[in-house]
Amino acid sequence: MLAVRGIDTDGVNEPHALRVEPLSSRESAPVGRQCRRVLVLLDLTARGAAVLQYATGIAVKVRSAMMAVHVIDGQPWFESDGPGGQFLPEERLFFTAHATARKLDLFLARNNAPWAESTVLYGKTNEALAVLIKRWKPDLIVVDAKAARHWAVAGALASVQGSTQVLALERAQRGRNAVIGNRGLRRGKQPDVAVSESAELAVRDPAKSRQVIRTLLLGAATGVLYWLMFVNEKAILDLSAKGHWYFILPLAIAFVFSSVHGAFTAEFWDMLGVKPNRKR
Amino acid sequence: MDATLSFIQLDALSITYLLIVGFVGGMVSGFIGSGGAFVLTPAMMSLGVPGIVAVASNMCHKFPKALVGAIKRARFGHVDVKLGLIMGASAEAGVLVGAHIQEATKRGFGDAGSNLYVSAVFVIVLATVGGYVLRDALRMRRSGSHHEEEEKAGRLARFVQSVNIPGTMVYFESIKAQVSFLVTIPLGFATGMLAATIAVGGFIGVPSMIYVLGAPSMMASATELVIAFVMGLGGTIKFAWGGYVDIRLAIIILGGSLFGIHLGAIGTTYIKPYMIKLVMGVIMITVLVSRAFVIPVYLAELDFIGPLSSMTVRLLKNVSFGIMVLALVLGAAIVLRALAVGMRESRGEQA
Repeated sequence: MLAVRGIDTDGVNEPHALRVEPLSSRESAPVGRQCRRVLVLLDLTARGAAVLQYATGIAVKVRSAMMAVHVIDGQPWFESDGPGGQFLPEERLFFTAHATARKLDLFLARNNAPWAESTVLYGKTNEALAVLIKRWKPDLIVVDAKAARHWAVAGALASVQGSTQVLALERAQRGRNAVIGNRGLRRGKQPDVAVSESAELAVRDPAKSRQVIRTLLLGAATGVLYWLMFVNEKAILDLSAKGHWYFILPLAIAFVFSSVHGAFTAEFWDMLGVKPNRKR
Repeated sequence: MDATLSFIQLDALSITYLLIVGFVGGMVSGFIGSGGAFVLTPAMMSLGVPGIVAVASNMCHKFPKALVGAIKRARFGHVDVKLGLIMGASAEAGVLVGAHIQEATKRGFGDAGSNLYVSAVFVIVLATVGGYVLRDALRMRRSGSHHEEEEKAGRLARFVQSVNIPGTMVYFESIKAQVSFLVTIPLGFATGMLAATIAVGGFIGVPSMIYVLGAPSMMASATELVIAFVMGLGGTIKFAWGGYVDIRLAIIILGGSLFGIHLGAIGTTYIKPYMIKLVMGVIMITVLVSRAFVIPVYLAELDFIGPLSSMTVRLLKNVSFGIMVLALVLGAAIVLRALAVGMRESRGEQA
């Protein structure tokens, strides 16, 4: 199915902080939670093919629908390589977009994903992409890490809400046979381009806001425990001074504190970004 | 026992003081497996807490702290639970005997005799073990053997691992070899004795696991937390049975030290193994110097040397306590620095 979308900015929210939700591995794709729609952002290079291959792997595994989106990076005044001649820049971009849409379908077919929906976005791409995400409601967005940092894509991803996860893929080490652009594809060579999940983006915690809430709740619980202890200070001290079987009391208090307070302090440092080295 | 007599009033200042001391102590504990305790008891006593309550409350904060630290380090794969429990059980016995010796010394020679005994143990243990650990750490640092694989078992450890006493052999994950529990029992016992005497059993526990059993320092320092948990739990029950635990003090110190212990434990994931030995050695030697300052005081009290003026006594005691605090701060600073450098490097690699 072919769709070309242009400027359509109704009801787009102001972008807020970029929410990036990486998956630890392909196997941990949101299978548990229903993942019915996968949106993949790609360009028509070998690199795009690698990203597509990754997304296809997830979509096939969890049997979800997939939409491949190609964003034409350009404003109407941008001189792109479309049909030239006596057309206005906007018109030229329109033709380019349609030509690209056909190329994208071909690209999908060539990369074993002819069943995926394809969409080409142009014009105010950030707004168009945001609207597309809002309307199509993907459960997972797969995107190249570099593309995710592009202003247009980043702006749109910032509007991602609810349970949608964003998986940013990092470029893996280039092999000897690596190709640049789609030269290799044209010659029919198997491109040597692999992707891995973005290390940099993965550092940003997947559920930062959830973690902050959890930390605050645990902190509040710890505070309540302290408050309870000091309110009942006299009674607790009197009982623990009795000794003998009352030894249970300080012991129990210590255990309760260690579990609640221990969980709180762990979350606290984690939230501040003090994390253990993952390599060991 | 009347609660109002033995349990002090707490104000904001003393709470903050205890929190900070707890934090620093916790950080060192999370890193080298123990420590911190030896400055907590004097810190509490300086607030007017009776000695036995200070010791009891320190015990009571130690076992939950060690538990949290052990769980955290276990997630990094540093903990050998089996070794910890076996050593912990024998350490428990060591604590009871150690406490008994303490009481007997006190009965026979009074407070000064007991203090002299403690200080002498401090000096002997710290000088021998601390010196050895520090020398080893510096040697590793110089030779540039920075990887865990290169941290090979020493000659003694290889001999211990080669001894086969049928029916007593236990396989330990951390050592990756079978060792007779007849070897671990005296080690655990000595750890417990030391813990009962100077409050820091880890100064024997950790080096003995490294040099006698051949465990990597990373595993030894983490497993010590299991031993500390077992000892702390037993000790707390013993003191709480007598009604000596001031749970408020314990919980306040625990509050500070839980923040610290996570930092210390995370710190171990960034450092090269010799750093654990280095921090341990530095702390042990600094504490040794600190104790050396008060020994003349006790000698004078026991009339072994001429009497000292009260000015000198106070000065020596303050200098001693100051150096002890310095030891802990020094350890904490090394841990924090290692953490900061490690995290910066690891971020640099990812970018």
